[in-house]
Amino acid sequence: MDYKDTVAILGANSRLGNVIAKGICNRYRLLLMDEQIQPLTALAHDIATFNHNATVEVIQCCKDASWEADIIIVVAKEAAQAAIASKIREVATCKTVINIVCSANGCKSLQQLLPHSKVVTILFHANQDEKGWSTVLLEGTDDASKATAMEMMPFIGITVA
Amino acid sequence: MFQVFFTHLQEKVVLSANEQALIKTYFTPKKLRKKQYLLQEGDVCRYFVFVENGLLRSYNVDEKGNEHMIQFAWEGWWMGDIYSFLSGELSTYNIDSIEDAELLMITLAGFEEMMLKVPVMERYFRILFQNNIISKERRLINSISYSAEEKYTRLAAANPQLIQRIPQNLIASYLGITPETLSRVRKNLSNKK
Repeated sequence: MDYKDTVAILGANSRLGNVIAKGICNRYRLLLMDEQIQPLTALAHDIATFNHNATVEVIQCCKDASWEADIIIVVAKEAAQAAIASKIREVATCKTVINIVCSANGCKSLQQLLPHSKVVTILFHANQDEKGWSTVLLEGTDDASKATAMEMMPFIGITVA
Repeated sequence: MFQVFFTHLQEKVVLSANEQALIKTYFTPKKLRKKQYLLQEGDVCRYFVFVENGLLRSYNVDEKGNEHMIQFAWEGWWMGDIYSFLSGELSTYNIDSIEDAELLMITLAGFEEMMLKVPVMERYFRILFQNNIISKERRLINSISYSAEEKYTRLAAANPQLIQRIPQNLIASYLGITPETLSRVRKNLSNKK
């Protein structure tokens, strides 16, 4: 049978969070998490309307979302990562944590903050026309987690460098 | 999060604070909602699971679609298809949650590394597997030697709390009797009181 892993997207209201959620919603059970509930609910409704096979739920607590998830995707600015890491650290042990960053500065810090998680960092470059995302750089020490992240990228419409 | 787990472990082995801290790093905490699958038939059992809170069941489904209960696991119990877990073969079991559950899950690689790094865990699992063999033998004897009423009475005496938490049709399946027979047994027992 086809078991669907549960993916928590922390920062789902962000532009990239939206793109990722819509891209992978048919393949994974989604837990959308962010601070603002209204756009989060709208996103969940949007996904459910256009993808009848999608299972998507809204959660406002990043610890609860991460606890329930098999895979955690963090879409947050570097300044917010320490706070997120401290909240999810004990429930993210041994889990794949995919850290989405838009600048090289945040590349290694999350792994240091989550020493017992398998962090994969993906550096996205926004296209100049702001209509999409181009080649990404993928870093991480755990091969299986990198493979998991690689598998997701085509669903978002991105090829990994 | 690890309270039930370490209480359970310390009943069988002595662990230092450092060993406890190291053991924690091998387990994936996971919340599972009621009726959600942990394992489905045809998948490889990737995790051996300790139930910190909640109630799980494992079962297989025959060609007619009938479910046959294999095991229940509640607080302090382990769950998994150990053959699939150790061999990497596809499982013939389904495991899902009867109640919302909080689990601690370990992979085979983590399991083996933990044994090397914390050797006392080998002793713990030896005791666990010994008890498991005894329990399976007793269940076999129960299954082939006793009447439906005796089977139910023995189960209720050994696990009174479980009888309250598990739906009657699942208990009937676990005992290898029909729900109608179980209902009749319960009525007879109630009349005897």
